[in-house]
Amino acid sequence: MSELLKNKFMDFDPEPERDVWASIEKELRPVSRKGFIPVWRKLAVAASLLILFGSGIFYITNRTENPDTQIVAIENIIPEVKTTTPQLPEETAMTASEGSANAQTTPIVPVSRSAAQKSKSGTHQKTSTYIVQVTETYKDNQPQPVATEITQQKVTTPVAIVSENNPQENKSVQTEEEPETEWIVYEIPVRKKKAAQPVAPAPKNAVKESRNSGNSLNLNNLEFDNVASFATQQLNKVINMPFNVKEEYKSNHKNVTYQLNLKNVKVVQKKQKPIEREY
Amino acid sequence: MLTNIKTYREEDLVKGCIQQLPVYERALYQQYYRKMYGVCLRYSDNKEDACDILQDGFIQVFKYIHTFRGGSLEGWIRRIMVNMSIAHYRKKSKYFMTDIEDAHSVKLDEQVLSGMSAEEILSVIKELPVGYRTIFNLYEIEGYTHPEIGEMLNISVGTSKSQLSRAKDMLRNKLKTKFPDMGLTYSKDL
Repeated sequence: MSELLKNKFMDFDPEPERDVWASIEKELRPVSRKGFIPVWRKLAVAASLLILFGSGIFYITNRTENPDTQIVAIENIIPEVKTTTPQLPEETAMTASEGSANAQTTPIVPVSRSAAQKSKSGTHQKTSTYIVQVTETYKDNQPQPVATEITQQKVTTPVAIVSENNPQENKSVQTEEEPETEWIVYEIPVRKKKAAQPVAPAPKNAVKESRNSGNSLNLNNLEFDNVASFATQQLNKVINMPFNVKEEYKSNHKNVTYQLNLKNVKVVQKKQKPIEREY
Repeated sequence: MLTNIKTYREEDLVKGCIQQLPVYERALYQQYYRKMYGVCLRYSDNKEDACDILQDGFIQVFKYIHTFRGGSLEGWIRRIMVNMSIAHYRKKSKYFMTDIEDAHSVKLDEQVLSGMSAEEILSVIKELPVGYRTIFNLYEIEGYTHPEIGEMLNISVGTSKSQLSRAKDMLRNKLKTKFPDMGLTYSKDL
């Protein structure tokens, strides 16, 4: 009987009612979700990247160059008339004398702020002087755009007077508790053109008529349309940061605002940073 | 259901399944699933259970294919199916086997059985209690001996014998009820 039953069931191969293989396959190889990233996560990553990228662009376009090492402020000083004949320091005087014989401008004279303010009365040579005070702070290893360097440059082509205000006092080492401000006084002589005054024959590359004669600068071979542009040019030589002298200049990064017009240079806000410096 | 499956040699099937290559796994399943489903049907109460046993059995096959040491692959898979069937009903029924040793010989008329189809025989076998049915299948169809069955089911040889005789007795009565025209013989001899 056993053989009979074996033979009966040997060829017995019915079809299962359901797809068993699908279940087996699912059990053998469960669907991996490793590579699956939900949509919300993709969006979150995209948004984060966008914010990061936008922040980077904003930072790059709005930052100031080396803002922590140099903070500049310009003070408002009304143009004044100098009457005294300024005295040049030795090195400046020598170079100035070698400069231009036709220089009709007041020689470059380093003056202090107080000295400039005192010289309000005078007669023989009226020279409008714009004094721009620049406050700078330095780090130890940073070369300072000191007045000397500028002065030497100006001597050959005397376009500006650069001097330091009490430089000796500033040579001391400052502590971090007290922010130190170094004042460098730039004296920019401006000669007002007199209409009635006969004009001496100018050298080839010399004086041009300015459209705004009251504020033009006629300094040796150079001419500036206005004080603002001249001041800007001068300040750019000593200030190692992007610096635009406009009617109103605002720097969002340091929240420093400069205001300059044809008659004055004004500090709206100035910042100082405590540093330790040593000359 | 499964079509266009290439037929492979047993050795290649085993190697492919050891490497867990889906093509070979599917081919192995396709080659044996119907026969194994028939085995599962004989041990199970219903088709759904048979499908479950078939599924679990093939998962075990793929899991332990690396332990296959030659011989008949079909026989190896069949043993797994049988063991899975036993395990399935052992879990379901606490009293899977009762230790009763009052065996007596029951002989079913072979002429009657030979006139029946596999489906008809299966329908009667399915009506047996799970314990009787299991031993009947193991002894009469799979060809295991009583000591082997005792070891597989963790019962004594006497119990295996008694369960088998009871299974046959019950099967005879059921056949008589279902097919009254059949001539069934009864014997005390084993």
